[in-house]
Amino acid sequence: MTNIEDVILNQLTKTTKRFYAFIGALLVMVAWGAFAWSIQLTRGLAVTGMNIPVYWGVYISNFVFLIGISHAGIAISAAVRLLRLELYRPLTRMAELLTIISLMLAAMNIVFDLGRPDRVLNMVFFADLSSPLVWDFISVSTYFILSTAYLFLGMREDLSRLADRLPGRRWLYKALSAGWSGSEQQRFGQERVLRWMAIIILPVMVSVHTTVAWIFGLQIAKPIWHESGLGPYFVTGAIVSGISMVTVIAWILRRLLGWGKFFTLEIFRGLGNFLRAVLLIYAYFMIAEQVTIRYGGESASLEVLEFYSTGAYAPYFWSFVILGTVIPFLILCIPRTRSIGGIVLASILVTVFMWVKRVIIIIPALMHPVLPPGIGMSTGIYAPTWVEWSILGGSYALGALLYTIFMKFFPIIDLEIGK
Amino acid sequence: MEQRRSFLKMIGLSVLGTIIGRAIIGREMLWLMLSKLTKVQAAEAPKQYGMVIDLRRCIGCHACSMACKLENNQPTGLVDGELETPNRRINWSIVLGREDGEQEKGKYPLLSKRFLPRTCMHCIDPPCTKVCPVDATYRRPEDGIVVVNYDRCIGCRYCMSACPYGARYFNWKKPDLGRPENPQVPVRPVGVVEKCTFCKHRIERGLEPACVETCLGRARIFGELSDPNSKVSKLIRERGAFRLLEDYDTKPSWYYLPW
Repeated sequence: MTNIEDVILNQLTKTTKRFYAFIGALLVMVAWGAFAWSIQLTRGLAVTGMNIPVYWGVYISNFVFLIGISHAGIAISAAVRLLRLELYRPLTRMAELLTIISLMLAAMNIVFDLGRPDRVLNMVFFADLSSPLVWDFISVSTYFILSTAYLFLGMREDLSRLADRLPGRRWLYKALSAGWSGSEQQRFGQERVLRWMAIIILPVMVSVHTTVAWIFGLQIAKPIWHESGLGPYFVTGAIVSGISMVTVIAWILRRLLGWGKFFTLEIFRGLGNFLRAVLLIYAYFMIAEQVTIRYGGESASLEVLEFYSTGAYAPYFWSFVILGTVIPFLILCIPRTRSIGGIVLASILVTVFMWVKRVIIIIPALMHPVLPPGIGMSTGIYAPTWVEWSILGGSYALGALLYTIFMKFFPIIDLEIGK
Repeated sequence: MEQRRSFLKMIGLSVLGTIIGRAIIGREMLWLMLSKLTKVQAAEAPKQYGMVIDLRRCIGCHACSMACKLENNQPTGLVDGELETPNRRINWSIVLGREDGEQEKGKYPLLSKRFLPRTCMHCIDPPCTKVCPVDATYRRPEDGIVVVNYDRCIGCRYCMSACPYGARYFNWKKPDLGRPENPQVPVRPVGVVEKCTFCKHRIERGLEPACVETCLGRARIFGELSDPNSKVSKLIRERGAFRLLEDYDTKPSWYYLPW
């Protein structure tokens, strides 16, 4: 079965013109983003659309979204290991990589949002444990280190095999495989470490998005956030967007590399079924939120809820409800549309509109402070500027670039599959 | 069997870890870490400054705000560049109100207008200091004034979001005063959060805050809340003073005497 291994290795050795064009396009986007950031650095956050009282804008919304995306990767991988779901084995590495890169982008978004990015290390030197932001910092960095170690340990065997197969890059793979000999004892020890790591990673993963939710939910000044359900609500949303993003990337790999035999219809069906279930839980949380706030009628929360569900943000909210939950759910239910194309379409819709939903969670609450603004000040208005869009676009291009470069040097599918 | 043994080993190790951890950092430290996670009663400050606003005397002239801007080196908004919008101005002291006429009371000719001046409330239990990730904003233990360390602030604006009163302001761009600065007050750099300091540089020299000194209607009374015989304490007791958003239990040291 070295045949399959060759297919995977082909991806590392054969480089097309199209690949260079793609890298070039990404580099241009990254450069544009860097240019926009330099403007923001020299002129201050005044070049963004943020103001009083909308202190946080798309950077923070995007941070929440990216942390959500990071959820599916390691979860899938850990579940595959712990529950022995061999069918989904081809997904593990690409999903782990997605976790790591989206965590990097999430951290970058926080830095974009800071007024003083030059002082970001104060978060380490003067960390104050009473701040939920510090809890989040601790939990995200734990998650990042664990995920990276998990990806690396799982890859050592492949690296040592690559050292044999690709003599040109032998030095690189030899060094990275860190003394992998493939002995029975080493294999056993490694498997045990990875199992324990998988067990530890799952609760850490839940803590990551819970602490993200707590950054918002522990503030008394924003009644609509100040709910005990915000943690689970965020975690569910994270799994929804993470799973759909993994589906989309699996589809891109299938199309680009012609890897239909790895990313099979069965895998997409499985992801689709899971997405359908979590989507339903998410919808349940949303309904619970609407009923609780509308029935109770507490004015500060109701004002925000009505603003986004029937007021100025209603188009975004209802496009999320219809295009981001109802239609994807139907696509994933009807047997005829549960083809790969259908499942991917549903996943793309969910991913895009989950981003919109993150904006709906963050910005309307900030637009409605509990005290009226001073005379002569308008209430919250917010529109991202071209600087914000450029920085966001540049950071996503950087993520895609890292992903592509990783794929050029390391097998994105476990070589074990070939056996 | 092998698996069970390793599982038990794991449990044993974690129990041991907890014991060793407690031995090293001690019970007090452990309690301190736990107490950080919950809402704790603020420590009694030996001195607690406070402000009383007599709302019947406020005429809404904004002189307090103007005096504050000049005293504390805030841009006045008259020198704005292209990047300044009204929603980015810095107003440590401001008069709250709505423009929809809600602030009017009574009918002509028995008509009165109501205003609600506000600055930082210098809460005894401030929600803003708790969320600061770098401990750059804190309540001074000696006199209960909530201050910002401009050299440490990373500009995440978490405190602004956490403050129910909207009392905190961010330097969206490099401040441009367009006038000589007051040397006693540092000019804040771009990218940090700032707010009312109760004019701590004036209090330390025995003066009253600039807004109190300027107030035309003498609506502002400044003093020590910790002293039961001070003028502020007496007014609070005798005139049925209230505080803003008392439901949130932030315990502001700003009191209002009702209309």
